[in-house]
Amino acid sequence: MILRVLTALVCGALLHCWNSDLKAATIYVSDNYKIIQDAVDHARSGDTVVVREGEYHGNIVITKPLILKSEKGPDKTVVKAADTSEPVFRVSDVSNVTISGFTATESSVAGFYLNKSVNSEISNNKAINNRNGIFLYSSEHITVTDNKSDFNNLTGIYLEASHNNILERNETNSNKEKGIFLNASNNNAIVNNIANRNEWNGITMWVSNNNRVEKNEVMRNTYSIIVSGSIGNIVNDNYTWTNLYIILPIILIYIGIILFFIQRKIFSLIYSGS
Amino acid sequence: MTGIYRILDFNTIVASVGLVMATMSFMTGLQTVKRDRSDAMMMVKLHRFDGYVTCLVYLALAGLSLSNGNMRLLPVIGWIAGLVLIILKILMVRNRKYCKYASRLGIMLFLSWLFIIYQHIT
Repeated sequence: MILRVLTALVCGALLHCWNSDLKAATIYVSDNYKIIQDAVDHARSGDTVVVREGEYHGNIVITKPLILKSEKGPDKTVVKAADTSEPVFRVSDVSNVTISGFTATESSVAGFYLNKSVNSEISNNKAINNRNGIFLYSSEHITVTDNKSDFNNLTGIYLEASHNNILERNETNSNKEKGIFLNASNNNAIVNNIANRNEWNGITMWVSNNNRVEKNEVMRNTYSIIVSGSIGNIVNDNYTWTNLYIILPIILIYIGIILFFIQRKIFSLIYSGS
Repeated sequence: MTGIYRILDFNTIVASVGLVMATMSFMTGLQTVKRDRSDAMMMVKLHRFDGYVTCLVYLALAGLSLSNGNMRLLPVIGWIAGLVLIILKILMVRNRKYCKYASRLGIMLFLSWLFIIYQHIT
């Protein structure tokens, strides 16, 4: 009898351990690990790594499916490239990765670099002062939403040989070259993005076919939307206002002059009345 | 239609009001040197009123911009420099010795408003 009870207890304990192994765990940086890369290395597939607020240095490499997110959002969780010749976040040959809530900066490659990855998500991040903000290379079915990719030396969001991706509600402003650049990338949806004040083009499609570019705002770029060597793209309901920054001040000065004359007339009437 | 709403952004509207007021102030400033004394006096009063309103708009816009832009160093320096320019202009106008340079500062203030509106348009 005692033997049976003991056997049942041991079996139960083993089963419990087995079940807990299957559950996705949540790992905290810097509670469980001080460095983000250590937490990523020790996480198992499907785990969630939550990063507390603070400034971190490193080049994070992700090669397994996991969720990497910050606790308090991109403004309070900044990751600077330790080796500037590498991306801040590199996702390679993997699917089902989510990166959310980080500011990635100071990389001469990219803030977020996805290489040959599928079914992943980059959301609510900031990529500032990198060569490229977000760089998708040979990646498919990636969702890039609600990111800010500003003041990068080349491009805000750059897709090369990447197909069937969704770029939605991103802001790519004040980049040295282009806001959003599709190079040899097909069947992507670029919807509701803002690409303002980039020094070259707002949105560029270069040898990229069958993409959908809709409801984007592209203002104060040298060229708003460029489609070159591409076929079958749908470009609809995008918003731009050419040379507004020249027209509006002139209109306002005219209004000022007219109001001056009205003001003078009113005052002279008052003065002459008194 | 997102663009039109972006143009109607509150900061852009305040900056536009500022440029209109700065233009009016600049025009009245030019008219203060009229030969007709009563006309000139009227223009001085107008110039003072327009300048006061423009200064208030400037302060309001500086507050709005800095609160939106996380108090970065360069914008703070820019707004303080503009404020120094305004104070310098007022002091010069009140000082008989340096009064002749006031018009140059007036032009600088007008140009600074052009820069402000350029920065605030989407």
